[in-house]
Amino acid sequence: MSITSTAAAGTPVCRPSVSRGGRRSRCAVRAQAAGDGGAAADGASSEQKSLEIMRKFSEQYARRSSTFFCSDKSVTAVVIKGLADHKDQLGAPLCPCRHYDDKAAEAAQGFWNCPCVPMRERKECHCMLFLTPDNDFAGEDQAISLEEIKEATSKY
Amino acid sequence: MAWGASLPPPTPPVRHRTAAFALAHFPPWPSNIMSSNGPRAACCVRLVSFHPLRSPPRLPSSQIPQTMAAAASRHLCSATALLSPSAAAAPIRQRVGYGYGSSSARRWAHRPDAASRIRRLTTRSRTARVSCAYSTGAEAITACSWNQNVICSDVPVLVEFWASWCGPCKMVHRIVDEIAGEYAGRIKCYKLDTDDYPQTANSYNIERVPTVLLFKDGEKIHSITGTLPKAVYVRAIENSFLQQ
Repeated sequence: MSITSTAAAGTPVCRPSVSRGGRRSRCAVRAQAAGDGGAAADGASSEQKSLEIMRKFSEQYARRSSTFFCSDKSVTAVVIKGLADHKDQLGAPLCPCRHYDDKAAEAAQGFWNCPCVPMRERKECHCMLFLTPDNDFAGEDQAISLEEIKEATSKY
Repeated sequence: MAWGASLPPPTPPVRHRTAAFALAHFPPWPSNIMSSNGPRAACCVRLVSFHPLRSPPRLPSSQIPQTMAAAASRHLCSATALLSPSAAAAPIRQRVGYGYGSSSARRWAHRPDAASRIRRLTTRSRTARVSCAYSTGAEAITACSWNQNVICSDVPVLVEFWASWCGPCKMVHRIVDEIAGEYAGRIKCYKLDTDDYPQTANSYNIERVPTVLLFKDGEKIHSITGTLPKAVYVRAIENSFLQQ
């Protein structure tokens, strides 16, 4: 016998897509490639750069999608760090909360690159990075500082 | 693993989590301590006995302390409630002879997180058998030890599949560690890094992490994906006890 329960992280509330904030659609916010031709000159600085890119992207995307970070900001910080790591390694911010057979192929395919398709379509982020206000874990913030991220991720 | 020199015959169900409770269940048999060479091996339940071989101090019987250190896994994620704070442990170390086990016990006692491993116990008899059912949170598991620890386990096994830099996994870690403490001896809790052991993750069709699987008699009986309240995990475990 096998029972399966699944968290409804980001309840599938299908709202009509209201064109918030004027002309730009909410899918417009993407992690910028930001000239990653650094050719891994120095790993540390490119790591920092990706972290900053992903941090800014997360803040921006949260605002544009009217979602909020987790009330436990260390979750947010860890996920942003994971996205930044994937961006460094794979060239795309692949969702760190999944298990993939072939990460490079997934990153190229793009379904699970942040913001992933379920997030864009239904505001479902099982990584708990972008939480709709009705989610139990949703906090009040749409901003996170680089220091917060570094502090939270230094523990792991 | 030479911790418990002589384990007591048929032990009562290992549900006790405080040493005092444990003591009530074990007769004070004479026992010896053997040196412990492998304190790193982690186990949810460890039976340890310390026998003050050198003349124990003439204290009122209620003050004769028995201190013990439990072996622990390399990272101590959550500790169960302790009988005594670390402050009590320091003076005790000087007063009690540990017999042959002293070196190892002291070594452990000096570790930074020793406070959570040392327990003080007052006892009526000079020689007390002390059982310490101590959990150190969920252990990491490898693909190699999978068969032995999960499939061949005679108690239900909870395995959390996680990945590095997965935020929700950190939350589930805490829950699983708490559960490991609360159900020490009744179930086993493990964590498996899906990046390190992708074959295992693939064979159980793990897609999203964190995913918690509950095994009983080597069979997957429940799967919990995502971050859910602790009650959900607890309910699954309790159900697994009911299904005989």
